[in-house]
Amino acid sequence: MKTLSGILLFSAALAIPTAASAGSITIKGSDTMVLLGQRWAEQYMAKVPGSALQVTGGGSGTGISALINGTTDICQASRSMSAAEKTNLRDRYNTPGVEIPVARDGLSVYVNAANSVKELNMDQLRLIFTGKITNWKEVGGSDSKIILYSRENSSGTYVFFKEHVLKNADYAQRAQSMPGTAAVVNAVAKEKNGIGYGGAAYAKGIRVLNIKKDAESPAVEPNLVNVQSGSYPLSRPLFFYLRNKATGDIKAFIDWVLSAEGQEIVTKVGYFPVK
Amino acid sequence: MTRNILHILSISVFLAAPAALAQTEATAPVEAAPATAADVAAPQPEPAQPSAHETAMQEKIDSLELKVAGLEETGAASQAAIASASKLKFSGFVQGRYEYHQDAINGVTYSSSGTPTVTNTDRFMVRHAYLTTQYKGTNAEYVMQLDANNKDGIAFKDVYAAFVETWTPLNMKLSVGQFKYPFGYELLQSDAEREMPERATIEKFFFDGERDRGARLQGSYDFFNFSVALVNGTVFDGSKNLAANKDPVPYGSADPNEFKDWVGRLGVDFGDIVGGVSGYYGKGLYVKPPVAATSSAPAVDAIPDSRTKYRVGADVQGYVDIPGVGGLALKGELIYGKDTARQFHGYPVDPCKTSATWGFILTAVQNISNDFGVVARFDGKDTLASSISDDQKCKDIKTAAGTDRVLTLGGGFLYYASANVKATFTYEHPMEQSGAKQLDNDFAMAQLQARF
Repeated sequence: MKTLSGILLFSAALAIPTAASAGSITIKGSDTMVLLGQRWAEQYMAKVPGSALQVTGGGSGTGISALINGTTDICQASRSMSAAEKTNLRDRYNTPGVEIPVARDGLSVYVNAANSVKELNMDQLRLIFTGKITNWKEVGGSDSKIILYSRENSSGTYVFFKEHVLKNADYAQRAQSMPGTAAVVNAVAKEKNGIGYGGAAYAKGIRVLNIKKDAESPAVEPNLVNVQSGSYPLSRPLFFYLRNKATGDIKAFIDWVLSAEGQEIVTKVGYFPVK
Repeated sequence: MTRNILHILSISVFLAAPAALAQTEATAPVEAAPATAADVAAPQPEPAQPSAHETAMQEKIDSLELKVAGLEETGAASQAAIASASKLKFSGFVQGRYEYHQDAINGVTYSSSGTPTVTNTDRFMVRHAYLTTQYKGTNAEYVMQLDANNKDGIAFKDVYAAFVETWTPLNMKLSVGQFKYPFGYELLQSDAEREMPERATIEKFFFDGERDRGARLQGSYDFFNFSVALVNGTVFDGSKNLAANKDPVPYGSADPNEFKDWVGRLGVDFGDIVGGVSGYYGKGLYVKPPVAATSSAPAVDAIPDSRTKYRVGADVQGYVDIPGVGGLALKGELIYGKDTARQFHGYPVDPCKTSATWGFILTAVQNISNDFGVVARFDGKDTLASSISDDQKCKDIKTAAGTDRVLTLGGGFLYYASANVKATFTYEHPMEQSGAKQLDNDFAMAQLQARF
């Protein structure tokens, strides 16, 4: 019996609760959404005195890991959680998690402004980014080598593009991985034979290609109507992920994000509202 | 970091060039004054020599360009190395524990031959010490999991090579090597994730050793998933299984049985409701050890014995978020299995080798905030006496089967100190065991787990 008492003492010693969080809401994840998250946070903190929100990027994968590890309250993700990630969250918290679409994005494909190519179809994109097509002349451009710019594998944009365009094939080895969508845009703007992809919000100063679902389909521009209707082949929802149903301060913030005021910021940043 | 340096240097060059030009333009009017008539008639002057400042600036730009080019090369090489390294992942966990057994007896007993047996089982121990290496490359996956705390020393757990296809929507993966039987729920749950310290009795009865060697095909589409494997069918752990009418393992990694077994699970995953049905079909074979001659009986050669075995199972898990408290998981699993003795190579059927066993597992886990949880599990296992032959020589086995039911109720607390540390405190009470209902063999445990 003494030993059983020992176990109970050992248990009590270990079961010291962690310090409660300081009350600020942490938001972590998608680099595509980091600017949007920061705008939301700034506006919300100005509107609700005493509220505190911290927004950081790192990529959707990093944000989802943080959600599972308990180091963020809200995860921003530009892709859906994978089956393995959902299982990990469920194993740890015994909840399937909560997915909230908060905006839509037309994932854009950029080329240098001097490039004569104006549109590509999904198959051509797949062949370009898997390294099967290596010269612009193969898709109607000049006789120049294609320079590929991609994202790091922690990026939700990287995963979305891989799943939806590359059909889960690997990127070409020579694709240069850039730390953020802004870096992709800058690189393509400087490299006349470059091609890259990223969120619509960053697509300034370079040409955004119109995308065809297949060779026979019409080319579709990533604008509000086409993205919201889903006719643009690379339109995608942007998510908030939570461990549990939102309550208290987190619920108040998310309700505001989904309100007309919050969705107006979505448009201002360059994305598309969900409503 | 390299990329940042590149950017800084690029910006430096970018900024330095206009500055140089501006200075050149500023000095140009002085050197190239308006031409006079005499000047026109005169021979054209030699091009102006760059000033010392311009020369120095150009040298600086050239130097920076060389540095940038060098850094770009280094960066490209580093990027390739990082991309390759990011596909290699290490993970692992260690579980240190203290166990209390109600039936522990302080001391050691000795057999007639002098072999000691420790009767005290209250002790500190290391339960698991796993290190997993995983590499995901192009259409390939490599997994090697080592258990540094196996009873026979370091042992391989999951070890397989996998081919991952990417051209169908099923995302199929073919693995060849050693892996867990794709059967049910609790068997496939990681030792690091399972809430109770040990697997339920029925799992240990049917799948002792948990793993086998073979080829496995997995895939998923939308909410469906499947996993099917062809395996040796000879579990690795425990010559003790001879007594339990199960495959023995004095053979190491060899398979004495030329037949291979099928095992698989078809599942659905709706997020808050998950479930599946599982099946196993195979043929068991083992060799009874030879018996040395005695003064009253002749030696008996090793005798092969054979049987057909199957197991079926169903599992379901439900998850619901209790507002203000945390997630609640309710999990249930039912397994039934039968072994049928049959003739092999002219050896007669042993009717006593036919038996059927069933079992169940009911588990409830409630998270309390993000840091705490409580768990309760009720499980049972029973070999059906009615499934054993009425042959007189099976009388003892049939009698034993009639009283072999095991029912265990357990529960405990979970504390997640951080993303990497979990403490578990559990207590298990066998409500019924081998026909007895008042056994004093409860089991309590406090365990600290660290993982990365």
